[in-house]
Amino acid sequence: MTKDKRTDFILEKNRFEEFIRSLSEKYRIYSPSYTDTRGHFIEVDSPDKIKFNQTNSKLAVKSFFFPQVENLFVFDAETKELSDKENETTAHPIQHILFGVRPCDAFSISLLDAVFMKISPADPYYIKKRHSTMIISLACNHPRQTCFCTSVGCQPDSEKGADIIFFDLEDRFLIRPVTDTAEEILNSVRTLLGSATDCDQEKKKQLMLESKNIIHKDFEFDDLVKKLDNFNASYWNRIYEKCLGCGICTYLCPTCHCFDIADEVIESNGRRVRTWDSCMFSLFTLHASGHNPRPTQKERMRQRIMHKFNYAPKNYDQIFCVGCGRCIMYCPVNLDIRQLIKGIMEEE
Amino acid sequence: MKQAEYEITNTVEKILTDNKVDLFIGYEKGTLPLRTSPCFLSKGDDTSRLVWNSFCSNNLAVYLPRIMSTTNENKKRKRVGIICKGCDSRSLVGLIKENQIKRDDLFIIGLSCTGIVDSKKVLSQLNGNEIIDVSEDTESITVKLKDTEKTFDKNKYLYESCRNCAYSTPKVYDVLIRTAKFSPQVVIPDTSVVKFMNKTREERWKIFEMEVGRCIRCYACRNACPNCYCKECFAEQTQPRWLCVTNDLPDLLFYHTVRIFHQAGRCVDCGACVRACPMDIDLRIFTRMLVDEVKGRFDYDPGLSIEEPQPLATFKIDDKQEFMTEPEVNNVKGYKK
Repeated sequence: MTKDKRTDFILEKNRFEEFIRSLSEKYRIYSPSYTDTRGHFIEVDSPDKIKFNQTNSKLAVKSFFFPQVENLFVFDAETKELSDKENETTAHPIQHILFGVRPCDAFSISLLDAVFMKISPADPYYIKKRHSTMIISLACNHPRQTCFCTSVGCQPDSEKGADIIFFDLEDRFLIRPVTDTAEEILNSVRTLLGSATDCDQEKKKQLMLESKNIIHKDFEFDDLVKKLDNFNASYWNRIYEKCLGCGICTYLCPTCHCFDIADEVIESNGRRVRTWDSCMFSLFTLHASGHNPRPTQKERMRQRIMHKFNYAPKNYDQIFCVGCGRCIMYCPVNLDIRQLIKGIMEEE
Repeated sequence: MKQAEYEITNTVEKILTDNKVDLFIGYEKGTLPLRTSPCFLSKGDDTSRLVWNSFCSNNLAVYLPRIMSTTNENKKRKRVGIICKGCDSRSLVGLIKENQIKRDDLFIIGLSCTGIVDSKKVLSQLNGNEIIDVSEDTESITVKLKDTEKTFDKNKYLYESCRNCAYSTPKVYDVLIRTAKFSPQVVIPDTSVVKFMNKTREERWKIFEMEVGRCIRCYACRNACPNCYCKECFAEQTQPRWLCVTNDLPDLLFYHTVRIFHQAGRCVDCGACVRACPMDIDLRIFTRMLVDEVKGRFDYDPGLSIEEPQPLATFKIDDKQEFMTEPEVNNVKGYKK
């Protein structure tokens, strides 16, 4: 592993503002906002707006790379002329830095990379934003009751998907560069950084151990994939019952990535937009003929669970759930995915 | 509470065993503190899962049209038992009136409700500390944190819709269970509409823009609302297409305005839309306005009687109609310009 060769740095908290300020000379910095009621990543105009002790942002960081509504191109509906500015795949230098991404959200980006970037044809809109953005994640010292990352192969200190990971050691940060880009960028602010001592490493280890102990391990996912192979199992007849069919769980999910494409034309101004779609909606996979292969909430709920825990592991070798707990926290009927999966596991 | 729970469990056990209903909808313990979850029981299922407490926030009537509607894919007649608070029962009465469900197919366990505790209000007082356990008595709830305990006066931490609720006991039911030591609830008059109306047009627009502008179109407000049972919602209709698929402000305004207007004379102010919203949009500012408007014009409170016709589905000779006869006089009545 190359990461072992990398050295960890120390940033004293009283130098944090300077650190962010130096970076912001060259890059645009975004961090989760807790004053903005949408609770998503917004551009930081001053370093003191960045908070460390908060929970995960309400909207997952996916919306930065895969926004809810994205113009693919615009066109003139009368002249049929197309403007195709977005569609370029050349290399992009880093322009944006996302600071304070939770390890589960960073992990989710590595999953979305598999969908949008690592297959052919890759998605130019996603790539453009992804290549020009660096992710600085912040390890979790205070996991919530809804967190279950350890059940799905993620950890409060996962490095996957991140370029740099910060560990909050109360008075200072331990900074670990994960990618080459990160090393370059850290070099530009090298004067603000010290080196990590064994004592710092020990403290980091201790904090992470405490975190992992807080997180309840709900299930082992190894058996789950196999269990779900039974498409017509009887448990599907009951587990969807209380679902209202809204899109909260899928829209707030950091890994859900289904989308729809539509042409919106107002007078002669046309645009082709890509918007999030949700398998929880009754319109999902409704054919033009009127036929829908997923006619009721039962089939739609099955789709959601199967996609995350059966199809994705087969197609991408990964479970498409990072255990962030948003779907649990915000579900209007407290339909808890952990309970649902435990129920499935207990079935004959 | 415990006594009510006991009575509920016994009644449900009996009606399921006697085949009076095919399905029962109540509440069960939630997986998060201060929450419960809807619970679906058939014959043979464990009725001791049922709970009744100050966190039974969901309006269960929302499930009835999809289970019982005669136009459903599932044509088989289904008899359903259900737990109803005051607001749930009013929604249910509305559904009967609008021919979505049949009274004969329902077994209603009415509960005199003392209001539901707003978990977000309680959580906002805990500085991010997590709740380990919750207990409640008639007047208060106590939450156990890691190192300490905190007690909250229930009445102060109810949902706003519950604080303003004048019909906490169902009028239509088969069995009525009274919560122990039930004291008539003090109805706190709702001042939000008056406050809103007293703002200038620019201020009102700003509030509307700010609230509606953060909508992510997850449609949780619609799907949590018992009145929103349309098979195909105008918001998603493609033939004809009413609005664009984006979350630009005009689309969000269009969606919310039209959805809310469809609630005129039907909204029972249960607050389900507000509770469901992940973005904490206060939709009640707008629905509340309609409730007041209907009350003022037609002296009508929805969902109290099955027989009384809905004001917008009938005509009376003395109905106010100055909006047609003298539109210039009254079109901005009560509003600041």
